Amino acid sequence: MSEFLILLLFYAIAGSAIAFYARKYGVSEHVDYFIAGRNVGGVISALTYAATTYSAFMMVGLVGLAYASGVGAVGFELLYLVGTLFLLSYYSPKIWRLSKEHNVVSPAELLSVKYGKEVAVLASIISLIALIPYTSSQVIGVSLLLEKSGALQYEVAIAVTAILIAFWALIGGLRGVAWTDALQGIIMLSAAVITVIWVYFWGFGVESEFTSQVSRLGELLYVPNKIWTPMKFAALSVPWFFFALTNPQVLQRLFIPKDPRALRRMVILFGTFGLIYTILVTFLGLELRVLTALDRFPAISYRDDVTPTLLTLMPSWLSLLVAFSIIAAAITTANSIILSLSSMISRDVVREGGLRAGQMAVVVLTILVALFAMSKPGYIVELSVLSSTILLSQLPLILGIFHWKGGKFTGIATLIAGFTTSVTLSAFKLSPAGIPASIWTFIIVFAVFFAVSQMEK
Amino acid sequence: MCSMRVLEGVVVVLAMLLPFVAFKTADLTTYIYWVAATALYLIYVALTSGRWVNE
Repeated sequence: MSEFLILLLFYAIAGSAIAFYARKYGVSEHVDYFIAGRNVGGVISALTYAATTYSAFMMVGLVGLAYASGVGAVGFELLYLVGTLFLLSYYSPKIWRLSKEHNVVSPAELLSVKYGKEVAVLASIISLIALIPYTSSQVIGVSLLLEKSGALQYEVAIAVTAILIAFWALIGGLRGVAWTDALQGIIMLSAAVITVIWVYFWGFGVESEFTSQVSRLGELLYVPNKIWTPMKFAALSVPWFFFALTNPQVLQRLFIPKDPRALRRMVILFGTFGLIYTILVTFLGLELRVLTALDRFPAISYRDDVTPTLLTLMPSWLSLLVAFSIIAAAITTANSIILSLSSMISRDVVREGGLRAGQMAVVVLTILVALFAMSKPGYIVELSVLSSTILLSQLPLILGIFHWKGGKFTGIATLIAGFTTSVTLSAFKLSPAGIPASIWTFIIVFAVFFAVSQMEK
Repeated sequence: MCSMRVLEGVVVVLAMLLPFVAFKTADLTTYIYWVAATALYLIYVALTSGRWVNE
C-alpha cells in the first residue's frame, strides 16, 4: 500500500473517531444535530468558520489565480475578508440573538421570521441549486489533484471524497463537523506555512533573491492591468464581499457560539486565520510566478494546474501534507454545505419533527454533488462565483430583517428576480451595457425588493 | 444600519480600492498595502467589538 493510501486511511479513521466522539454530546434533536446545541466555544467556532469558508479554492484556485494574474488576486481575496469582518462586526451579534430568541436552526428559517415560511422554502431551493455546483467544485479540485499526483483515478477520488463528506456529517452532525474542521483548519494553515517556506528556499536560496527578482512580474504587481480591470475586479468581488450573509453554511455558523464572548472570539480569530492564510496562499502564487520567470518552475497555462505541478516537484512528505491540506479544505467546506442544506430540507421544506429527511438529504445531496463533479464542468473560480452570484438574491432579505419593511411577496419577488437574472445572464454569458452578471443581480434584487416592499402592506 | 456604520463601510471599501488609482510600481507596494490595510481593519474590529459582550 502506498504512503498516500496509508495516510488517507489514517485520516479517515481519525476523522471518524472524532465524529463518533461528538455523538456522545447528542445528535437526536435538530438543535444538537444541525447547530451543535448552540454551545460551541470561540476557538472551535472560529476554526470551523475558517475551514468552512476557505475551501480547496485557496490552495488550488487562488494559488493559480495569483500565479496567472498577480496581486489583483490578493486584493480580491482581502476585499472579501474585509467585507466579511465589516458585516460580521455589525450583524453577527444581531443574527446570533435573533436565532436564539426565535429558535432558528436553519439559515432559511432566519428569513421565515420576517417573510414567512414560503420564502424560506424558496430560499432553500435556490440555495440547493446554487451550492451543488459550488460543492462539486471542491470535489473536482481535490480529485484533479489526486489524479495528477497519481494517487487515485479521478472517479475513485470523487467516490472517496464523497464518502468522507457524507459519513462525518451523518455521524456527528455539526458538532462532529466543527471538531473535524478545527483539526483540518490547523492542517491547512500548517501546510501553507511550510510550503511557502520550502518554495522560498528551494527556489531562491538564502540570499532573498525573491525581492530583487519580483519586478520581473511587471504589470502583474499593480492594478488595474489587462487582467484585473476595475469591472473584472468588481464582478468577482461583489458576490464575495457579501458571502458571510448570503452563503447558508457560514450564516448558520453565527448560530453556534455559546455566548457573545465566544461569538466575538470567533470573528477575531477567523479574521486572523483568514489574513494569514490569504497572505501565504497568494505569496505562494507570486513566488512560483517569479520562479517561472527565472526558468526554475514550469510555465503553466491552465492556472488550476499550478499547485498540482508544484506537488510533483516537492519531497514526498511535503506533497503528501499539502495534498491532505487540500483534501481537508475541500471536505470541511463540502460537508458544512451539505449539512446546512440538509437542515433547510429538514426544517423548512419537509418541516419534520425528527431527523430522517435531514439525514437522507445528506446522502442524496452528496451523491448529486459527486455526479456533478464527474462531468468536470468549467473553471473552479467561475463556478464558485456563479454560486455566490445566485445567492446574492438573498442579500436584501437578510439586510431587510434588520432595516427595512417587507413581507412574503417582497421576499418571493426578490428571490425569483435575483435567481432569474443571475442564471440567465451567466448561462448566456451576457453583460448588458458591459456590466457583469453579479453587478446586475445586485442592482436588480435591491430594486425589486424596494419596489415590491413599497406596494406590500 | 446607522450612518456611522455606512460611513465605515464606505471608507473601508475605498481604502481597499485605493491601489487602482494610487500605485503603479513593479514591486510589492500594492501587495503590502492591501495586507496592511486588512490587518489594520482587523485590529480595529478587535478593539471595537468588546461592546457585544456588554450589550
